[in-house]
Amino acid sequence: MLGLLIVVSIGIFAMVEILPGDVGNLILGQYATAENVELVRRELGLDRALAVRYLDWMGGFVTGDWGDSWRLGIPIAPLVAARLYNSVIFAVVAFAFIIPVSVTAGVVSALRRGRLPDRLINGASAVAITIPEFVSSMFLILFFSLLLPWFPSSAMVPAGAGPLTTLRYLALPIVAISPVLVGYIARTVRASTITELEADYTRTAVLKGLDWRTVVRRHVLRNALLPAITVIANQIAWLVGGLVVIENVFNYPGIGQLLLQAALVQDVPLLEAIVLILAAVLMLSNLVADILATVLNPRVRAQVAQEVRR
Amino acid sequence: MTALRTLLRSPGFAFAVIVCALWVIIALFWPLLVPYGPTEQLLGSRYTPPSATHWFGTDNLGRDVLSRILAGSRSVLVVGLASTALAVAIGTTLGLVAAFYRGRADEWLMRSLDLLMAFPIVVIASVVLAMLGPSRLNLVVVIAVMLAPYNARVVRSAVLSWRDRDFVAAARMRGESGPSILFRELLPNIVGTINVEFTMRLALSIFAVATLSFLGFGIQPPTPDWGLMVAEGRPFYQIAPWVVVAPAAAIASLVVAINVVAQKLRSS
Repeated sequence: MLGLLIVVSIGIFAMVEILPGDVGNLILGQYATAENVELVRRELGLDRALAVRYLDWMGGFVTGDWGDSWRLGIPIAPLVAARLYNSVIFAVVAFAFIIPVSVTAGVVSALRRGRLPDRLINGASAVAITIPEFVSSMFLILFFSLLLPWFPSSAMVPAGAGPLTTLRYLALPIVAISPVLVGYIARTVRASTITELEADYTRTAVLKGLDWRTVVRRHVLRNALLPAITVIANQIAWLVGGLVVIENVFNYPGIGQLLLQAALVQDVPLLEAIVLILAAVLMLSNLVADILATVLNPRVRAQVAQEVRR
Repeated sequence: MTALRTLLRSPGFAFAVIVCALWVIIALFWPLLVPYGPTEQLLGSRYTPPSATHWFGTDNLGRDVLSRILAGSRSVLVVGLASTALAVAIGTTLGLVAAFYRGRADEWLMRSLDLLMAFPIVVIASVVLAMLGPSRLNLVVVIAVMLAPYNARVVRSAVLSWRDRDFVAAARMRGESGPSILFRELLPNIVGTINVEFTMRLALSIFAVATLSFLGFGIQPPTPDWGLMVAEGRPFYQIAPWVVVAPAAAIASLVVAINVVAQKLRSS
Protein backbone atom coordinates (compact mmCIF):
# COMPACT_ATOMS: atom_id res chain seq x y z
CA MET A 1 0.00 0.00 0.00
CA LEU A 2 2.88 2.35 0.77
CA GLY A 3 4.30 1.66 -2.68
CA LEU A 4 0.96 2.45 -4.26
CA LEU A 5 0.76 5.69 -2.31
CA ILE A 6 4.19 6.70 -3.61
CA VAL A 7 3.07 5.98 -7.17
CA VAL A 8 -0.03 8.08 -6.58
CA SER A 9 1.98 10.93 -5.07
CA ILE A 10 4.25 10.99 -8.13
CA GLY A 11 1.13 10.96 -10.27
CA ILE A 12 -0.40 13.90 -8.44
CA PHE A 13 2.83 15.86 -8.48
CA ALA A 14 3.36 15.20 -12.17
CA MET A 15 -0.24 16.06 -13.01
CA VAL A 16 -0.04 19.45 -11.35
CA GLU A 17 3.47 20.26 -12.54
CA ILE A 18 3.17 19.17 -16.14
CA LEU A 19 -0.09 20.91 -16.87
CA PRO A 20 0.51 24.37 -18.32
CA GLY A 21 -0.04 27.59 -16.42
CA ASP A 22 2.88 29.67 -15.18
CA VAL A 23 3.02 29.98 -11.44
CA GLY A 24 4.65 33.40 -11.36
CA ASN A 25 1.83 34.76 -13.47
CA LEU A 26 -0.73 32.87 -11.43
CA ILE A 27 0.34 34.72 -8.31
CA LEU A 28 1.21 38.14 -9.69
CA GLY A 29 -1.44 38.40 -12.38
CA GLN A 30 -1.01 38.52 -16.12
CA TYR A 31 0.58 41.99 -16.24
CA ALA A 32 3.57 41.10 -14.04
CA THR A 33 7.01 41.92 -15.42
CA ALA A 34 9.32 39.09 -16.42
CA GLU A 35 11.81 39.93 -13.62
CA ASN A 36 9.16 39.80 -10.93
CA VAL A 37 7.83 36.49 -12.21
CA GLU A 38 11.38 35.13 -12.14
CA LEU A 39 11.81 36.41 -8.57
CA VAL A 40 8.64 34.67 -7.37
CA ARG A 41 9.65 31.47 -9.07
CA ARG A 42 13.03 31.55 -7.31
CA GLU A 43 11.43 32.40 -3.97
CA LEU A 44 9.18 29.36 -4.24
CA GLY A 45 12.07 27.21 -5.37
CA LEU A 46 10.46 26.52 -8.72
CA ASP A 47 13.72 27.05 -10.63
CA ARG A 48 15.05 23.74 -9.32
CA ALA A 49 14.86 20.42 -11.15
CA LEU A 50 11.56 18.54 -11.06
CA ALA A 51 12.94 15.52 -9.21
CA VAL A 52 14.55 17.70 -6.53
CA ARG A 53 11.29 19.50 -5.96
CA TYR A 54 9.38 16.24 -5.72
CA LEU A 55 11.77 14.83 -3.12
CA ASP A 56 11.66 18.09 -1.20
CA TRP A 57 7.84 18.05 -1.26
CA MET A 58 7.59 14.39 -0.24
CA GLY A 59 10.23 14.83 2.47
CA GLY A 60 8.30 17.75 3.90
CA PHE A 61 5.06 15.81 3.66
CA VAL A 62 6.36 12.86 5.62
CA THR A 63 7.84 15.04 8.36
CA GLY A 64 4.63 17.05 8.68
CA ASP A 65 5.89 20.24 7.02
CA TRP A 66 3.45 20.66 4.15
CA GLY A 67 4.52 24.18 3.25
CA ASP A 68 2.37 27.29 3.06
CA SER A 69 -0.67 28.00 0.95
CA TRP A 70 0.17 30.43 -1.86
CA ARG A 71 -3.06 32.35 -1.57
CA LEU A 72 -3.80 32.26 2.15
CA GLY A 73 -0.16 32.44 3.26
CA ILE A 74 -0.78 30.07 6.17
CA PRO A 75 0.67 26.61 6.87
CA ILE A 76 -1.19 23.89 4.98
CA ALA A 77 -1.01 20.98 7.43
CA PRO A 78 -3.22 22.37 10.25
CA LEU A 79 -5.69 23.81 7.72
CA VAL A 80 -6.11 20.51 5.87
CA ALA A 81 -6.25 18.57 9.13
CA ALA A 82 -9.07 20.74 10.50
CA ARG A 83 -11.08 20.50 7.29
CA LEU A 84 -10.48 16.75 6.98
CA TYR A 85 -11.72 16.30 10.53
CA ASN A 86 -14.97 18.11 9.67
CA SER A 87 -15.44 16.00 6.55
CA VAL A 88 -14.79 12.76 8.39
CA ILE A 89 -17.45 13.69 10.93
CA PHE A 90 -19.86 14.42 8.12
CA ALA A 91 -19.00 11.17 6.35
CA VAL A 92 -19.44 9.09 9.50
CA VAL A 93 -22.86 10.60 10.23
CA ALA A 94 -23.82 10.15 6.57
CA PHE A 95 -22.81 6.49 6.55
CA ALA A 96 -24.65 5.92 9.83
CA PHE A 97 -27.75 6.97 7.90
CA ILE A 98 -26.97 5.48 4.49
CA ILE A 99 -25.92 1.94 5.48
CA PRO A 100 -29.01 0.91 7.48
CA VAL A 101 -31.37 2.48 4.94
CA SER A 102 -29.76 0.90 1.90
CA VAL A 103 -29.20 -2.54 3.44
CA THR A 104 -32.82 -2.68 4.64
CA ALA A 105 -34.05 -1.58 1.22
CA GLY A 106 -31.92 -4.18 -0.54
CA VAL A 107 -32.96 -7.04 1.75
CA VAL A 108 -36.66 -6.13 1.66
CA SER A 109 -36.47 -5.86 -2.10
CA ALA A 110 -34.88 -9.30 -2.42
CA LEU A 111 -37.33 -10.99 -0.01
CA ARG A 112 -40.31 -9.51 -1.87
CA ARG A 113 -38.81 -10.06 -5.29
CA GLY A 114 -41.06 -9.12 -8.20
CA ARG A 115 -43.74 -7.75 -5.91
CA LEU A 116 -44.70 -4.16 -5.21
CA PRO A 117 -42.06 -3.28 -2.57
CA ASP A 118 -39.32 -4.67 -4.82
CA ARG A 119 -40.58 -2.80 -7.88
CA LEU A 120 -40.84 0.44 -5.91
CA ILE A 121 -37.37 0.14 -4.36
CA ASN A 122 -35.82 -0.95 -7.64
CA GLY A 123 -37.42 1.90 -9.58
CA ALA A 124 -36.50 4.45 -6.96
CA SER A 125 -32.88 3.34 -6.82
CA ALA A 126 -32.60 3.33 -10.62
CA VAL A 127 -33.69 6.97 -10.63
CA ALA A 128 -31.71 7.87 -7.51
CA ILE A 129 -28.31 6.84 -8.85
CA THR A 130 -28.62 9.13 -11.87
CA ILE A 131 -29.48 12.49 -10.35
CA PRO A 132 -26.48 14.73 -9.62
CA GLU A 133 -26.13 15.63 -5.95
CA PHE A 134 -26.43 19.35 -6.55
CA VAL A 135 -29.78 18.87 -8.31
CA SER A 136 -31.26 16.86 -5.45
CA SER A 137 -29.86 19.43 -3.00
CA MET A 138 -31.71 22.18 -4.80
CA PHE A 139 -35.03 20.36 -4.53
CA LEU A 140 -34.43 19.49 -0.88
CA ILE A 141 -33.63 23.11 -0.05
CA LEU A 142 -36.71 24.25 -1.94
CA PHE A 143 -39.08 21.92 -0.11
CA PHE A 144 -37.61 21.65 3.37
CA SER A 145 -35.92 24.98 3.81
CA LEU A 146 -37.76 27.56 1.69
CA LEU A 147 -41.34 26.27 1.43
CA LEU A 148 -41.36 24.50 4.81
CA PRO A 149 -38.82 26.23 7.04
CA TRP A 150 -37.83 23.07 8.93
CA PHE A 151 -34.12 22.89 8.23
CA PRO A 152 -31.41 25.50 7.62
CA SER A 153 -30.20 25.70 4.01
CA SER A 154 -26.61 26.06 5.18
CA ALA A 155 -24.62 23.45 7.08
CA MET A 156 -22.48 26.02 8.90
CA VAL A 157 -23.05 24.60 12.36
CA PRO A 158 -22.87 27.45 14.89
CA ALA A 159 -20.03 27.18 17.39
CA GLY A 160 -20.93 25.36 20.59
CA ALA A 161 -24.05 23.72 19.15
CA GLY A 162 -25.27 20.54 20.84
CA PRO A 163 -25.58 17.22 18.97
CA LEU A 164 -29.27 17.76 18.19
CA THR A 165 -28.71 21.18 16.63
CA THR A 166 -25.76 19.78 14.70
CA LEU A 167 -27.95 17.01 13.34
CA ARG A 168 -30.57 19.54 12.28
CA TYR A 169 -27.92 21.43 10.32
CA LEU A 170 -26.54 18.25 8.75
CA ALA A 171 -29.92 16.69 7.90
CA LEU A 172 -30.42 18.19 4.43
CA PRO A 173 -26.83 17.69 3.23
CA ILE A 174 -26.87 14.07 4.37
CA VAL A 175 -30.15 13.33 2.64
CA ALA A 176 -28.82 15.11 -0.47
CA ILE A 177 -25.64 13.04 -0.65
CA SER A 178 -27.46 9.75 -0.03
CA PRO A 179 -29.49 8.85 -3.15
CA VAL A 180 -26.60 7.73 -5.35
CA LEU A 181 -24.96 5.73 -2.56
CA VAL A 182 -28.18 4.22 -1.25
CA GLY A 183 -29.12 3.22 -4.79
CA TYR A 184 -25.85 1.41 -5.44
CA ILE A 185 -25.62 -0.34 -2.09
CA ALA A 186 -29.29 -1.39 -2.15
CA ARG A 187 -28.87 -2.92 -5.59
CA THR A 188 -25.79 -4.90 -4.58
CA VAL A 189 -27.42 -6.13 -1.38
CA ARG A 190 -30.52 -7.15 -3.35
CA ALA A 191 -28.46 -9.09 -5.88
CA SER A 192 -26.36 -10.88 -3.28
CA THR A 193 -29.40 -11.70 -1.13
CA ILE A 194 -31.17 -13.20 -4.14
CA THR A 195 -28.11 -15.34 -4.92
CA GLU A 196 -28.09 -16.70 -1.37
CA LEU A 197 -31.87 -17.24 -1.35
CA GLU A 198 -31.49 -19.48 -4.38
CA ALA A 199 -28.54 -21.40 -2.93
CA ASP A 200 -28.85 -25.07 -2.11
CA TYR A 201 -28.13 -24.62 1.58
CA THR A 202 -31.11 -22.30 1.87
CA ARG A 203 -33.37 -24.96 0.38
CA THR A 204 -31.89 -27.52 2.76
CA ALA A 205 -32.56 -25.24 5.70
CA VAL A 206 -36.16 -24.70 4.60
CA LEU A 207 -36.74 -28.40 3.92
CA LYS A 208 -35.38 -29.50 7.26
CA GLY A 209 -38.20 -27.46 8.72
CA LEU A 210 -36.42 -24.37 10.00
CA ASP A 211 -38.54 -21.34 10.68
CA TRP A 212 -38.36 -18.95 7.66
CA ARG A 213 -37.22 -16.06 9.84
CA THR A 214 -34.35 -18.13 11.19
CA VAL A 215 -33.39 -19.20 7.69
CA VAL A 216 -33.21 -15.59 6.57
CA ARG A 217 -31.45 -14.30 9.63
CA ARG A 218 -28.97 -17.07 10.31
CA HIS A 219 -28.30 -18.42 6.84
CA VAL A 220 -29.16 -15.98 4.08
CA LEU A 221 -28.24 -12.60 5.53
CA ARG A 222 -24.97 -13.74 7.05
CA ASN A 223 -23.72 -14.73 3.62
CA ALA A 224 -25.39 -11.97 1.67
CA LEU A 225 -24.14 -9.03 3.68
CA LEU A 226 -20.46 -9.93 3.48
CA PRO A 227 -19.97 -8.70 -0.12
CA ALA A 228 -21.81 -5.52 0.87
CA ILE A 229 -18.83 -4.43 2.96
CA THR A 230 -16.56 -4.33 -0.07
CA VAL A 231 -19.18 -2.45 -2.05
CA ILE A 232 -19.64 0.08 0.73
CA ALA A 233 -15.87 0.64 0.86
CA ASN A 234 -15.82 1.18 -2.90
CA GLN A 235 -18.55 3.77 -2.50
CA ILE A 236 -16.30 5.89 -0.29
CA ALA A 237 -14.81 7.32 -3.48
CA TRP A 238 -18.31 8.38 -4.53
CA LEU A 239 -18.90 9.80 -1.10
CA VAL A 240 -15.76 11.93 -1.39
CA GLY A 241 -16.80 13.15 -4.84
CA GLY A 242 -20.25 13.92 -3.50
CA LEU A 243 -18.70 15.72 -0.54
CA VAL A 244 -16.99 18.20 -2.87
CA VAL A 245 -20.38 19.12 -4.30
CA ILE A 246 -22.45 18.96 -1.12
CA GLU A 247 -19.99 20.92 1.02
CA ASN A 248 -20.02 23.69 -1.54
CA VAL A 249 -23.79 23.74 -1.87
CA PHE A 250 -24.38 23.77 1.87
CA ASN A 251 -21.35 25.80 2.80
CA TYR A 252 -19.90 23.12 5.07
CA PRO A 253 -16.27 23.80 6.08
CA GLY A 254 -14.87 20.43 5.02
CA ILE A 255 -12.05 19.29 2.78
CA GLY A 256 -14.27 19.22 -0.31
CA GLN A 257 -14.97 22.92 0.02
CA LEU A 258 -11.26 23.58 0.55
CA LEU A 259 -10.44 21.56 -2.56
CA LEU A 260 -12.77 23.62 -4.72
CA GLN A 261 -11.51 26.89 -3.28
CA ALA A 262 -7.90 25.84 -3.85
CA ALA A 263 -8.72 24.71 -7.40
CA LEU A 264 -10.54 27.90 -8.35
CA VAL A 265 -7.62 30.12 -7.28
CA GLN A 266 -4.98 27.61 -8.41
CA ASP A 267 -3.33 27.26 -5.04
CA VAL A 268 -0.96 24.49 -6.18
CA PRO A 269 0.65 23.32 -2.91
CA LEU A 270 -2.69 23.27 -1.13
CA LEU A 271 -4.28 21.37 -4.01
CA GLU A 272 -1.50 18.78 -4.04
CA ALA A 273 -1.75 18.24 -0.30
CA ILE A 274 -5.53 17.81 -0.40
CA VAL A 275 -5.50 15.31 -3.25
CA LEU A 276 -2.72 13.27 -1.67
CA ILE A 277 -4.56 13.16 1.65
CA LEU A 278 -7.76 12.12 -0.09
CA ALA A 279 -5.87 9.36 -1.92
CA ALA A 280 -4.47 8.12 1.39
CA VAL A 281 -7.92 8.16 2.98
CA LEU A 282 -9.43 6.21 0.07
CA MET A 283 -6.72 3.56 0.19
CA LEU A 284 -6.92 3.27 3.95
CA SER A 285 -10.67 2.76 3.85
CA ASN A 286 -10.33 0.04 1.22
CA LEU A 287 -7.71 -1.66 3.37
CA VAL A 288 -9.95 -1.47 6.43
CA ALA A 289 -12.84 -2.94 4.43
CA ASP A 290 -10.66 -5.83 3.24
CA ILE A 291 -9.57 -6.57 6.78
CA LEU A 292 -13.14 -6.30 8.05
CA ALA A 293 -14.43 -8.63 5.35
CA THR A 294 -11.74 -11.13 6.29
CA VAL A 295 -12.39 -10.92 10.00
CA LEU A 296 -16.13 -11.37 9.51
CA ASN A 297 -15.80 -14.24 7.06
CA PRO A 298 -15.53 -17.53 9.01
CA ARG A 299 -14.17 -19.37 5.97
CA VAL A 300 -11.26 -17.00 5.50
CA ARG A 301 -10.78 -16.84 9.26
CA ALA A 302 -10.43 -20.60 9.43
CA GLN A 303 -7.99 -20.56 6.54
CA VAL A 304 -5.85 -17.92 8.19
CA ALA A 305 -5.91 -19.83 11.48
CA GLN A 306 -4.82 -22.96 9.68
CA GLU A 307 -1.93 -21.21 8.04
CA VAL A 308 -0.86 -19.69 11.32
CA ARG A 309 -0.88 -23.12 12.93
CA ARG A 310 1.34 -24.47 10.19
CA MET B 1 -35.25 -4.36 -34.79
CA THR B 2 -37.90 -6.62 -33.28
CA ALA B 3 -36.13 -6.35 -29.95
CA LEU B 4 -36.43 -2.59 -30.17
CA ARG B 5 -40.12 -2.87 -30.97
CA THR B 6 -40.73 -5.05 -27.91
CA LEU B 7 -38.84 -2.51 -25.82
CA LEU B 8 -40.87 0.39 -27.16
CA ARG B 9 -44.02 -1.36 -25.99
CA SER B 10 -42.89 -0.74 -22.41
CA PRO B 11 -44.39 2.65 -21.51
CA GLY B 12 -41.45 3.70 -19.33
CA PHE B 13 -38.95 3.07 -22.09
CA ALA B 14 -41.07 4.78 -24.74
CA PHE B 15 -41.55 7.84 -22.55
CA ALA B 16 -37.79 8.02 -21.81
CA VAL B 17 -37.00 7.80 -25.53
CA ILE B 18 -39.46 10.62 -26.24
CA VAL B 19 -37.88 12.83 -23.56
CA CYS B 20 -34.38 12.20 -24.96
CA ALA B 21 -35.56 12.87 -28.52
CA LEU B 22 -37.24 16.10 -27.43
CA TRP B 23 -34.04 17.42 -25.85
CA VAL B 24 -32.04 16.50 -28.96
CA ILE B 25 -34.54 18.32 -31.19
CA ILE B 26 -34.45 21.34 -28.88
CA ALA B 27 -30.65 21.32 -28.84
CA LEU B 28 -30.62 21.29 -32.65
CA PHE B 29 -33.32 23.86 -33.32
CA TRP B 30 -33.41 26.10 -30.24
CA PRO B 31 -32.80 29.32 -32.22
CA LEU B 32 -36.20 28.75 -33.88
CA LEU B 33 -37.95 27.94 -30.61
CA VAL B 34 -36.79 30.51 -28.06
CA PRO B 35 -39.22 33.37 -27.30
CA TYR B 36 -36.32 35.70 -26.31
CA GLY B 37 -32.59 35.78 -26.89
CA PRO B 38 -30.91 33.61 -24.24
CA THR B 39 -28.49 36.40 -23.26
CA GLU B 40 -30.90 39.26 -23.94
CA GLN B 41 -31.41 41.38 -20.79
CA LEU B 42 -34.89 42.78 -20.49
CA LEU B 43 -34.42 45.84 -18.32
CA GLY B 44 -37.18 46.48 -15.84
CA SER B 45 -38.26 42.86 -15.67
CA ARG B 46 -35.78 41.25 -13.32
CA TYR B 47 -36.97 38.40 -11.08
CA THR B 48 -40.33 38.14 -12.87
CA PRO B 49 -42.19 35.07 -11.58
CA PRO B 50 -43.43 32.53 -14.13
CA SER B 51 -46.25 34.01 -16.22
CA ALA B 52 -47.76 33.82 -19.70
CA THR B 53 -45.04 36.05 -21.16
CA HIS B 54 -42.19 34.33 -19.30
CA TRP B 55 -43.18 30.69 -18.70
CA PHE B 56 -40.30 30.04 -16.31
CA GLY B 57 -39.84 33.65 -15.17
CA THR B 58 -36.72 35.81 -15.55
CA ASP B 59 -33.43 35.87 -13.66
CA ASN B 60 -31.41 38.54 -11.83
CA LEU B 61 -30.41 40.21 -15.12
CA GLY B 62 -33.90 40.06 -16.61
CA ARG B 63 -33.09 37.17 -18.92
CA ASP B 64 -35.87 34.77 -19.91
CA VAL B 65 -35.26 31.47 -18.07
CA LEU B 66 -37.15 29.32 -20.60
CA SER B 67 -35.04 30.63 -23.47
CA ARG B 68 -31.86 30.01 -21.52
CA ILE B 69 -32.91 26.43 -20.73
CA LEU B 70 -33.78 25.66 -24.33
CA ALA B 71 -30.47 27.14 -25.50
CA GLY B 72 -28.55 25.47 -22.67
CA SER B 73 -29.56 22.00 -23.83
CA ARG B 74 -27.00 22.25 -26.62
CA SER B 75 -23.90 22.62 -24.46
CA VAL B 76 -24.87 19.75 -22.13
CA LEU B 77 -25.61 17.40 -25.00
CA VAL B 78 -22.59 18.40 -27.10
CA VAL B 79 -20.12 18.06 -24.22
CA GLY B 80 -21.85 14.92 -22.92
CA LEU B 81 -21.94 13.19 -26.31
CA ALA B 82 -18.42 14.24 -27.30
CA SER B 83 -16.87 13.09 -24.02
CA THR B 84 -18.79 9.80 -24.12
CA ALA B 85 -17.73 9.14 -27.71
CA LEU B 86 -14.11 9.86 -26.83
CA ALA B 87 -14.32 7.76 -23.65
CA VAL B 88 -15.80 4.81 -25.52
CA ALA B 89 -13.19 5.12 -28.28
CA ILE B 90 -10.29 5.15 -25.80
CA GLY B 91 -11.82 2.53 -23.54
CA THR B 92 -12.68 0.15 -26.38
CA THR B 93 -9.17 0.37 -27.82
CA LEU B 94 -7.58 -0.26 -24.43
CA GLY B 95 -9.97 -3.10 -23.65
CA LEU B 96 -9.35 -4.77 -27.02
CA VAL B 97 -5.58 -4.50 -26.67
CA ALA B 98 -5.59 -5.77 -23.07
CA ALA B 99 -7.84 -8.74 -23.80
CA PHE B 100 -6.12 -9.72 -27.04
CA TYR B 101 -2.49 -9.51 -25.95
CA ARG B 102 -3.03 -10.56 -22.30
CA GLY B 103 0.17 -11.08 -20.33
CA ARG B 104 2.06 -8.38 -18.55
CA ALA B 105 0.75 -5.50 -20.67
CA ASP B 106 -2.81 -6.49 -19.78
CA GLU B 107 -1.99 -6.71 -16.10
CA TRP B 108 -0.27 -3.33 -15.94
CA LEU B 109 -2.91 -1.62 -18.01
CA MET B 110 -5.76 -2.94 -15.91
CA ARG B 111 -3.98 -2.11 -12.67
CA SER B 112 -3.39 1.49 -13.67
CA LEU B 113 -7.00 1.79 -14.80
CA ASP B 114 -8.14 0.43 -11.42
CA LEU B 115 -6.05 3.08 -9.75
CA LEU B 116 -7.61 5.79 -11.88
CA MET B 117 -11.09 4.47 -11.09
CA ALA B 118 -10.38 4.59 -7.37
CA PHE B 119 -10.44 8.38 -7.56
CA PRO B 120 -13.64 10.39 -7.63
CA ILE B 121 -14.13 12.07 -11.01
CA VAL B 122 -14.90 15.43 -9.42
CA VAL B 123 -11.62 15.53 -7.50
CA ILE B 124 -9.36 14.73 -10.44
CA ALA B 125 -11.37 16.92 -12.79
CA SER B 126 -11.18 19.93 -10.47
CA VAL B 127 -7.39 19.64 -10.25
CA VAL B 128 -6.88 19.19 -13.98
CA LEU B 129 -9.37 21.88 -14.97
CA ALA B 130 -7.89 24.25 -12.39
CA MET B 131 -4.51 23.91 -14.06
CA LEU B 132 -5.71 23.82 -17.68
CA GLY B 133 -8.36 26.48 -17.25
CA PRO B 134 -12.06 25.93 -17.79
CA SER B 135 -13.09 25.35 -21.39
CA ARG B 136 -15.45 23.11 -23.28
CA LEU B 137 -12.63 21.10 -24.88
CA ASN B 138 -10.81 20.55 -21.58
CA LEU B 139 -14.06 19.40 -20.01
CA VAL B 140 -14.60 16.86 -22.79
CA VAL B 141 -11.08 15.47 -22.51
CA VAL B 142 -11.08 15.21 -18.71
CA ILE B 143 -14.44 13.47 -18.52
CA ALA B 144 -13.49 11.12 -21.36
CA VAL B 145 -10.25 10.09 -19.66
CA MET B 146 -12.03 9.52 -16.34
CA LEU B 147 -14.81 7.42 -17.90
CA ALA B 148 -12.68 5.39 -20.32
CA PRO B 149 -11.46 2.86 -17.69
CA TYR B 150 -15.02 1.70 -16.93
CA ASN B 151 -15.55 1.10 -20.62
CA ALA B 152 -12.18 -0.64 -21.03
CA ARG B 153 -13.06 -3.13 -18.30
CA VAL B 154 -16.37 -4.12 -19.84
CA VAL B 155 -14.94 -4.37 -23.36
CA ARG B 156 -12.02 -6.43 -22.10
CA SER B 157 -14.22 -9.03 -20.47
CA ALA B 158 -16.47 -9.13 -23.55
CA VAL B 159 -13.49 -9.69 -25.84
CA LEU B 160 -12.04 -12.40 -23.60
CA SER B 161 -14.90 -14.70 -24.57
CA TRP B 162 -14.16 -14.20 -28.28
CA ARG B 163 -10.39 -14.16 -28.55
CA ASP B 164 -9.92 -17.94 -28.47
CA ARG B 165 -12.49 -18.70 -31.17
CA ASP B 166 -11.47 -20.38 -34.39
CA PHE B 167 -12.05 -17.34 -36.59
CA VAL B 168 -9.38 -15.45 -34.67
CA ALA B 169 -6.96 -18.34 -35.08
CA ALA B 170 -7.83 -18.44 -38.78
CA ALA B 171 -7.13 -14.72 -39.12
CA ARG B 172 -3.78 -15.27 -37.46
CA MET B 173 -2.97 -18.08 -39.88
CA ARG B 174 -3.84 -15.84 -42.78
CA GLY B 175 -1.19 -13.50 -41.44
CA GLU B 176 -3.51 -10.67 -40.49
CA SER B 177 -1.80 -8.05 -38.38
CA GLY B 178 -2.70 -7.49 -34.71
CA PRO B 179 -4.61 -4.24 -35.22
CA SER B 180 -6.49 -5.75 -38.13
CA ILE B 181 -7.62 -8.72 -36.01
CA LEU B 182 -8.59 -6.34 -33.20
CA PHE B 183 -10.70 -3.96 -35.24
CA ARG B 184 -11.92 -6.13 -38.14
CA GLU B 185 -12.39 -9.52 -36.52
CA LEU B 186 -13.06 -8.89 -32.82
CA LEU B 187 -14.67 -5.44 -32.75
CA PRO B 188 -17.75 -6.34 -34.87
CA ASN B 189 -18.65 -9.03 -32.33
CA ILE B 190 -18.90 -6.65 -29.42
CA VAL B 191 -20.84 -3.85 -31.11
CA GLY B 192 -23.91 -4.69 -29.03
CA THR B 193 -21.95 -4.42 -25.81
CA ILE B 194 -20.45 -1.12 -26.92
CA ASN B 195 -23.86 0.33 -27.74
CA VAL B 196 -25.17 -0.46 -24.27
CA GLU B 197 -21.94 0.87 -22.78
CA PHE B 198 -22.36 4.10 -24.71
CA THR B 199 -25.80 4.84 -23.27
CA MET B 200 -24.66 3.93 -19.74
CA ARG B 201 -21.59 6.17 -19.99
CA LEU B 202 -23.66 8.96 -21.52
CA ALA B 203 -25.81 9.15 -18.39
CA LEU B 204 -22.68 9.28 -16.22
CA SER B 205 -20.98 11.80 -18.46
CA ILE B 206 -23.94 14.19 -18.37
CA PHE B 207 -23.97 13.77 -14.59
CA ALA B 208 -20.31 14.87 -14.59
CA VAL B 209 -20.75 17.71 -17.10
CA ALA B 210 -23.62 19.21 -15.12
CA THR B 211 -21.76 18.87 -11.82
CA LEU B 212 -18.52 20.37 -13.12
CA SER B 213 -20.23 23.34 -14.75
CA PHE B 214 -22.19 23.85 -11.54
CA LEU B 215 -18.85 24.01 -9.69
CA GLY B 216 -17.56 26.58 -12.19
CA PHE B 217 -15.21 24.41 -14.27
CA GLY B 218 -17.28 24.19 -17.40
CA ILE B 219 -18.96 26.63 -19.70
CA GLN B 220 -18.35 30.22 -18.64
CA PRO B 221 -20.99 32.96 -18.35
CA PRO B 222 -22.93 34.46 -20.04
CA THR B 223 -23.33 31.34 -22.24
CA PRO B 224 -26.48 29.52 -21.12
CA ASP B 225 -25.75 26.19 -19.43
CA TRP B 226 -27.92 24.24 -16.99
CA GLY B 227 -25.34 23.54 -14.29
CA LEU B 228 -24.07 27.08 -14.45
CA MET B 229 -27.63 28.48 -14.29
CA VAL B 230 -28.24 26.61 -11.04
CA ALA B 231 -25.02 28.03 -9.59
CA GLU B 232 -25.82 31.56 -10.76
CA GLY B 233 -29.32 31.38 -9.33
CA ARG B 234 -28.16 30.14 -5.90
CA PRO B 235 -27.54 33.56 -4.24
CA PHE B 236 -31.14 34.64 -4.82
CA TYR B 237 -32.82 31.25 -4.47
CA GLN B 238 -35.14 32.67 -1.83
CA ILE B 239 -36.56 35.50 -3.94
CA ALA B 240 -36.54 33.77 -7.32
CA PRO B 241 -36.59 29.97 -6.87
CA TRP B 242 -37.73 29.37 -10.48
CA VAL B 243 -34.30 30.45 -11.77
CA VAL B 244 -32.77 27.45 -9.98
CA VAL B 245 -35.63 24.95 -10.10
CA ALA B 246 -36.19 25.09 -13.87
CA PRO B 247 -32.62 24.14 -14.93
CA ALA B 248 -32.38 21.59 -12.08
CA ALA B 249 -35.55 19.92 -13.37
CA ALA B 250 -34.17 20.01 -16.92
CA ILE B 251 -31.00 18.19 -15.80
CA ALA B 252 -33.01 15.64 -13.84
CA SER B 253 -35.33 14.93 -16.79
CA LEU B 254 -32.42 14.35 -19.16
CA VAL B 255 -30.29 12.13 -16.90
CA VAL B 256 -33.21 10.04 -15.72
CA ALA B 257 -34.47 9.52 -19.28
CA ILE B 258 -31.05 8.48 -20.57
CA ASN B 259 -30.58 6.14 -17.65
CA VAL B 260 -33.96 4.47 -18.13
CA VAL B 261 -33.04 3.86 -21.78
CA ALA B 262 -29.63 2.49 -20.77
CA GLN B 263 -31.03 0.17 -18.09
CA LYS B 264 -33.67 -1.28 -20.40
CA LEU B 265 -31.15 -1.77 -23.21
CA ARG B 266 -28.80 -3.57 -20.86
CA SER B 267 -31.40 -5.90 -19.43
CA SER B 268 -32.90 -6.73 -22.81
